[in-house]
Amino acid sequence: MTVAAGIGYALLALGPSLSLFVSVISKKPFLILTVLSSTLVWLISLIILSGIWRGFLPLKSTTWWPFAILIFSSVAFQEGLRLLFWKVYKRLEDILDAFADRVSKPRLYLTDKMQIALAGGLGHGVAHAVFFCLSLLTPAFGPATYFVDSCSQMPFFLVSALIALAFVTVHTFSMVIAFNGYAEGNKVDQVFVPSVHLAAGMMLYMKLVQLVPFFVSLMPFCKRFQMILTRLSVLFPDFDKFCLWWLHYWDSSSILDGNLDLDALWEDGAEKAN
Amino acid sequence: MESSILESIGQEIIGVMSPVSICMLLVVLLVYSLSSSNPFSSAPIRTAANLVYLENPSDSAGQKLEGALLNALVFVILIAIVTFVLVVLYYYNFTNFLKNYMRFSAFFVLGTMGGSIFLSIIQQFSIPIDSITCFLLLFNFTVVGVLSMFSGGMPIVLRQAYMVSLGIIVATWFTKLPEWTTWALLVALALYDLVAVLAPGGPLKLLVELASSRDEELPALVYEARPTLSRNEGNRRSNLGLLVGGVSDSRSVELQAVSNGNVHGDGSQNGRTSEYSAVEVRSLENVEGERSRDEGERSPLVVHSRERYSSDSNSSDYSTVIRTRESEIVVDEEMSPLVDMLGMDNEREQVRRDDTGNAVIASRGIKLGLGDFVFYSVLVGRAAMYDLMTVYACYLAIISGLGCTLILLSVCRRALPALPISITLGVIFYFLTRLLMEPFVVGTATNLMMF
Repeated sequence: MTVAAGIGYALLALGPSLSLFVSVISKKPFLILTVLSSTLVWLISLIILSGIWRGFLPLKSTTWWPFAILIFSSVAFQEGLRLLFWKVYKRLEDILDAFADRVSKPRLYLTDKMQIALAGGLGHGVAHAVFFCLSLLTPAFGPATYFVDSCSQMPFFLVSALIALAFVTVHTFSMVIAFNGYAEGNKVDQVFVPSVHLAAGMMLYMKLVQLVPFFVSLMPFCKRFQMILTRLSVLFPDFDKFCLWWLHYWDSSSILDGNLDLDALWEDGAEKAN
Repeated sequence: MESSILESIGQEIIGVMSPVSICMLLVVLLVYSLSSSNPFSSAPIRTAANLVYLENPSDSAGQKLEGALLNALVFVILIAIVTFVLVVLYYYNFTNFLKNYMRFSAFFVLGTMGGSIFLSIIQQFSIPIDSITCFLLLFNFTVVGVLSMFSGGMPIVLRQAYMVSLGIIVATWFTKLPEWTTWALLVALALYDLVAVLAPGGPLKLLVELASSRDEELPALVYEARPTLSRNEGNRRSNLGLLVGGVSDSRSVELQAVSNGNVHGDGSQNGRTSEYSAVEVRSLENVEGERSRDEGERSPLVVHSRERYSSDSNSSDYSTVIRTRESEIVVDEEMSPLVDMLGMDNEREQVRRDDTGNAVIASRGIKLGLGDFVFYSVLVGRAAMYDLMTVYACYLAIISGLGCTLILLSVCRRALPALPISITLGVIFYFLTRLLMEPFVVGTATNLMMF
């Protein structure tokens, strides 16, 4: 059960992005490079943030405002980084177009641009999942599990895997939406993306319900679902199936919650805590 | 829909990055599965890398640092001496001795180091296997490895797989070094690499220049990401589901692979024959034989082109050209008008050809020394002993460093050291992650704060 549980948590967090990677990204070397570089950018941003906040750790969990400031500043920093990413991407697009002209190939299609945005977003999302979920998952491969105080119903690993799944979705698609918004000068989209990001972080902070970020993460789908679907389905006909599958995946993850014997887990954890 | 530009850019970079990633991944898995409960690995080993000082957990930090630096210094001096001896031997044309020495060392490494790693894997997972079977399997593995690395006629995929596995074995061995020594060693090797490749009179620089002036292959273990492999590897990857090469537009890819394959196949075949110039004619026939055998597998369009092509080259090049590089260049020139001719048939092929021509290194394939594989993996393996987080950070740092090196390669168009940028970034990211990021991430994540 132990190794299986660890792999299961990992797949829960990264399964959809893995299939996205295999089905879309990995066919085009340039997109792989985009994913890698955007993961690196996110890692660097995380290191800078942790360097700034290192002096104030560990935060007392009794007072509320340090965490709020932390989340707010982090989200603001990362959204600023997204703007920077957009600027770099603009320059890159010109270079690519010039190169395409030189080798007498067609310039970038709209779908190509969206794929680059998707790859960039996937890089951000994967980096989030890797650093906030996967790297903490090592103990899950062992015989024990771990519960945190704020959520005594589910093992910490399951919670973090589900949250990571939500954030992968948010990051992946908000990059597409943001780039689209920047390109078209659409103010609503430009504001929408940071607010979703902030809302997701804040809802987690306020611990309204653990599943709230899931609704947040569905919002990119609902909001621009039509847009993304119509644009992307030109290039990969399977994409709508993929999205449906993804939704189904959400569904089954909540089924998984239902199947968990929470009482037994709770007693188990209580025994271990004692 | 016409293939977009995204499919062709960066293929060479991915061709080098994917084996490096595979190597690192496997080393991390090995380190993870073996280091957990293996009493054998905890015992310190004596190698050339810790001749002076054997690290003790109870020693003070200053003592450890001093000892680690001494170890690294001694190891680098040893490596420098060995490289100089290699250069001297190569300079005085002891090529056969070098070749046999390399065969022996590869055999030795695969047999003993690989064998001991296999033994510990068997112990760890308690695989039921008797000693005779194990010995037979190991012997076969080793012999096929040596044959595939040093003689022609083997599929390039096998050769690359053995290169990677050699890197994995050596890297896993190196991860058994004590911690401080490893870090000092990595930094020292990066510095040494910088000096040896770039400084005038550096041994590796001498070696590369000597090899290119003699038009021979480097007498060293080098991973070649030839463009030939874009077809093979593409297929293999698609089986694995981890596609790298652009395989969606299979026809044009096939042609690219074939046209490059001709050049490189012939180049390397000739390279081997020019060393044994007595049998040259016969092995040229071999080459031709191989070609005709291969032709059965190609699509009609490509066979057509190949026939024209090989008749051309038969008449002009092969009767006269002996040396490797010359033949390669001649064939290259011979190829381009042909491809242009084909290009009239199909625009796309010509574009592809242009693509590979524009990427500077593409026409000869990127070569990465096996040492780079080993020390990248050592860094990642050492990071794996701390935490997974450091592994990811180091992996990203190393890969981006490798990318920078490759970009520099296409700018400078000369042999470059692959270690310094990657190792520097890797070490910096390791300590940043360990000191800054981990407490932060663990602190926020255990409070279920994420963003």
